[in-house]
Amino acid sequence: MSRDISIKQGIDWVTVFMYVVMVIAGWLSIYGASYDFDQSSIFDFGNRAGKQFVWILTAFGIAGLLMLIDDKVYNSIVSNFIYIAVTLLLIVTIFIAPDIKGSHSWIRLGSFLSIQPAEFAKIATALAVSRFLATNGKNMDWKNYVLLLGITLLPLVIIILQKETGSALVLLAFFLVFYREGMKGLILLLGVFAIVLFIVIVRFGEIPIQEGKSDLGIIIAFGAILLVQVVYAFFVQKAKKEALWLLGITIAIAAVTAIINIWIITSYNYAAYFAIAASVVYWVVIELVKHSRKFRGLILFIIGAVLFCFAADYIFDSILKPHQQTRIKVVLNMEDDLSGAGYNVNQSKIAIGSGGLLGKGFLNGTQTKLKYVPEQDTDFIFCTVGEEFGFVGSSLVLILFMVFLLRIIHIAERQRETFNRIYGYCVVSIFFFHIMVNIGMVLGLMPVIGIPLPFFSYGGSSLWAFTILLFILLRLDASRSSRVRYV
Amino acid sequence: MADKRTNIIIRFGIMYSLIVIAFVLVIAQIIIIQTKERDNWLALQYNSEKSTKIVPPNRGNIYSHDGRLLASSIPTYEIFLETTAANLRDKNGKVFYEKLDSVSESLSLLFKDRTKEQYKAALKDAYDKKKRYFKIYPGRIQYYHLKEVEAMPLFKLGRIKSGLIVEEKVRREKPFGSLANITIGDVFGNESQIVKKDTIIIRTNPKTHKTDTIKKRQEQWVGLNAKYGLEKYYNDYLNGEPGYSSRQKLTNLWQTVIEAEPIDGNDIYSTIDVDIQDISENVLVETLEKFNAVSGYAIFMETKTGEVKSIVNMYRNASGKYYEKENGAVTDIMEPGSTFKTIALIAALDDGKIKITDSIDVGDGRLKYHSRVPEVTDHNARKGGYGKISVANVIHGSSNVGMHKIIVDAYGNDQGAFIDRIRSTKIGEPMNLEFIEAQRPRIKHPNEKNNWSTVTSLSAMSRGYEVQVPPIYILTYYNAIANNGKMIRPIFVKSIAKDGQTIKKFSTETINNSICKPSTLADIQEVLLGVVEGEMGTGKDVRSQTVHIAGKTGTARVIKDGVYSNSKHRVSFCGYFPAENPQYTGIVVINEPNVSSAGLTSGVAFKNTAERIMALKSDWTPKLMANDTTIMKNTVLLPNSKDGNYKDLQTVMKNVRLPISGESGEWVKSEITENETTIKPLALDNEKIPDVRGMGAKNAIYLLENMGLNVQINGRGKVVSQNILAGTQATKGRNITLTLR
Repeated sequence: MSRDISIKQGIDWVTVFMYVVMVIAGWLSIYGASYDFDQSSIFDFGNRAGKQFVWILTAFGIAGLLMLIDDKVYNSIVSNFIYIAVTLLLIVTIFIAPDIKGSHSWIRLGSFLSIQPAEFAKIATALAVSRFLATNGKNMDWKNYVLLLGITLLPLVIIILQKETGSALVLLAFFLVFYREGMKGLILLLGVFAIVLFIVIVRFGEIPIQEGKSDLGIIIAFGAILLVQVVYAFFVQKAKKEALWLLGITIAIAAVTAIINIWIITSYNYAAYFAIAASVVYWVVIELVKHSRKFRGLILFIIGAVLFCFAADYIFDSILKPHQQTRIKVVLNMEDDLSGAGYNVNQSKIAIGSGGLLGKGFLNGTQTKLKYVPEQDTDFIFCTVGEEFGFVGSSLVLILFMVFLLRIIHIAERQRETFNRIYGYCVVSIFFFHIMVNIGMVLGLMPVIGIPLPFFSYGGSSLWAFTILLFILLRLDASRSSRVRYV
Repeated sequence: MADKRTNIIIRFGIMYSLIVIAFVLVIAQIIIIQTKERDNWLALQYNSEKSTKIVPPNRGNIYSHDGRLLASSIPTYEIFLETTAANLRDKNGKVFYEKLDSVSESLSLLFKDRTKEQYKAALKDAYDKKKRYFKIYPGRIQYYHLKEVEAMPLFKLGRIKSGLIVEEKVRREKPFGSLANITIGDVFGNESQIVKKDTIIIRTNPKTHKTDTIKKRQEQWVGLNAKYGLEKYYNDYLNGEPGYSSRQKLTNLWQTVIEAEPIDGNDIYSTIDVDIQDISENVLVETLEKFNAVSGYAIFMETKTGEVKSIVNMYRNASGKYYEKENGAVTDIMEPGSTFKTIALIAALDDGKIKITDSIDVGDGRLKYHSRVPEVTDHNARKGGYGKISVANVIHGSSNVGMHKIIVDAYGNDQGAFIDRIRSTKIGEPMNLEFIEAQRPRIKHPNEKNNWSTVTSLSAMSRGYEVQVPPIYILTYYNAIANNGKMIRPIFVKSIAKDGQTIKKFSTETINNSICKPSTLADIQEVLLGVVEGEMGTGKDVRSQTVHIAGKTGTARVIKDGVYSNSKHRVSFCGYFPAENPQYTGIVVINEPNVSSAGLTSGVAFKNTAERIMALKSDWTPKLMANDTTIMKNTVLLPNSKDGNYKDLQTVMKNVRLPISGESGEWVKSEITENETTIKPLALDNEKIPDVRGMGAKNAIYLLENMGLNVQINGRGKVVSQNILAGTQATKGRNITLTLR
């Protein structure tokens, strides 16, 4: 008895309250989004809102059940088993799942129920990662780094094979966890820099300058790499003289090219290649002359970045599918794809733009009602909020999400057990990624990647998965206080 | 230590700020969309002339159990000329007059309904009167005709420049005509799948920032609605989902943009066996005609799986012909009469009230058990009755007095127990059949308020009166007897497929694992065989030379004007075959034949059907299926091609990579020579009946029905004969019978 009471007391009711509010707000939005000409009740199981109601009730049930499970099972071999089981299920899914719009990620259970195992891969990976770091975090050698990376990336690769790229990318959110747990911030920065290079090359690669003789993308990218060198040498390694010299040489090369161009058209690309090559030689010479190892990392970075620049074009043109290319081009304003991804985003911006301060009122959204916005009750659910409740409504939802995320960080930080803390960060990272990518997509800030908005998007698998993800944490957190009291 | 702490606080702080910054950015973007960009988006909405158009999906097909087409949607087209089209009016109609001659000739050549001069005159007339919607060809045309029209002079300029308007309508076709018509069902073909509804749109003027509400006619897809049958029950599966298209201004040109492709409906694979259906239908109609009955139903199902192989519902119309009308086999809540005696006896046997070997004295076949109730009589009362007979003989001879005595003696003091026992077999429970019009049985109970009479009800029910059971429920019960006591649900659909891939499978569903004790079952099986093959059996006429049939006859008086008629009967036979290893269970019900003997009418119809089914499925006898010892020589065997539509043939032959030679035409006859399939065009004349011999059923029916003939099909495979010779003048509504093999 005393144990039950202690768990009840230990539950973070603030988070539970926010969870319930979001789920119900989501349910109303789904009703608004699928609200049709024929007015049907929100409880009508024939429509999406009615079905979602069933999912919500079952999700509450699942949440309750999770509170009854002993918290000690998670930081144990059980987490490893869950991970292995889910990974096997993911593999099996590729082969048995029917083709739904090109993706093989749904398993049919009976005639009316389908589940998407990829949604549950997040939970399994979070448990496995937490378990691994909690056990081996203190002595990370290169073997352990490889293992950790493997644990994270294996489900990612399998889910990509299921043609569910969006769900796969979610697993990249774990790098935020790694950062909190001690991964060098530099790695995150390198990741961000890689994304910037990729965008630059794609965005500017197709703009012809100098009668097509130069590739603006490469020029800007190489310029950025040179700039990083200068900044790094100047501020990090405090090698101010060397840094300024490099800057000078680079500017000189650019100037000479510009002068030559007065008489004869010479590609700036050559100048860029020359400048990069010169910078590598420059650092190597400095290393040899001064017998230092200060710039070894920088040299590796330059070579890596240059190779990446050349690979980016290939990745974009050959690895990405045409529809993925289009989605990226749309978000970079390079293409107005009026019938596909661009169309969706335009329509969702019309919905949000026409919402105004207070919105058109519940069930009065016409953009969504006329089915102008496809996937209106799944991936694009946020535009229903924007259209019907306006700026105030969408801001409230966003603030609620933000407070929710910060609250989870707070919960994570107050854990005594390493496992619990890491798991808490896994939860926050996954939610953060989902929310940002989804809303970014609706607002045209991110390419259209089909991932659901937690607690809002229609769908049983995702609601269940987010509920499980969250309530495992709340269960771990609940016994934190019981330990304090009884141990 | 302090460093580590600082490190953690920095990392925590960065995570924290990252989240806050991200949310600030997102909210900033919303502000940008709602302020700076707002007018842009409002204008995009305000000025969009865009109205969504529905692209209807194709309705799925219904197939027989072996994949033969039972119902399919075929698009047809109507063509009009908008003579006011700008291009036709330009330069005093230069284009129109230039092409008038050649297009008239092409139309006349294609449709042959008018001469070139007539076409020319009609077009000219429409042009002069500036008709906006001139119907070029009076009827509906097929897709390949449409393609030819579109390739004609003038029309090949495109629809906008030539003023050609094409309207598509989908017609639901049943390649087997009236076969299993009611079971397959029907759709409301003339109803549009698309309705227009007013929708209220709230929009804001980007210049004045005034918000107004406008009404917009918006298309909404409602799908095809079905009237009855499988079409109705599986309507949602068959309908598919619509796509959307809209007119949008792209690079300064209005274009139709498909926003979402329609998703075609699923295909339904029914359990219906076209051959058995055909046999069953022919036999039933013959019987109904012979005895001038009002109506009749026949259902045959596979004993082990519950798959309904045939279901026929025939009703006499005013001109004395029989046709499929209502689904009486599943809707007629009839009083079953004597077929219910088996059910009553099983109750008594199972409760141990009586043994099959006990004897019952039925005396002279008359029993006055209550002063105010008419006496119970046996069919042979006038001949003096059966006297003292065994319980088994009571069923064999269908003795009413005997059944009264057995049941009233057994349950007279506890009448509810009898009903409880019958209901425990689950015969009274709705089976959720695949017809929304299906009815459930009504078996009343003394404890329920439903005019139960403690005097008459028990006696009446022992003989199959005062209960209402649709034929298919009686069938289901008898099927349980044949299937070792296991009651299974009759099913009409085996699977649902999408693009050829099965998405839903229906398997045998058990209602009751065992309707009675094994000993009771054995007794009853023997008794039912005795009805047909025993000395006293009322089903002697059902006895067959080729197959052992077990079953029970039933004769019930029909209520006319509130009283039981003495002259009008409903006769039935329900049974299974081969009795030693039941494969099929069936029921034949005939309403108001001019003979009251169930054996002679329903029974004989059952026997005839059973014998023909057995002949059809002779491959059951394993000895007939000896291994094929023929050694394949190194020769190429050409597939035996059917005659018919040239394009179909071409596609098939191309797919199997076989050559065809000869002259092409729309309809062709094919001949197989040594290693090549030669075709010659089939001369078609709209007035004369064509030679359809050699064609498959679908093409033959298509051709003949298009000429307005009623086509009857016998057999399967290719047409081997037609009862009206080719070249005979075709008159609308005339019947033509094709024999296929």
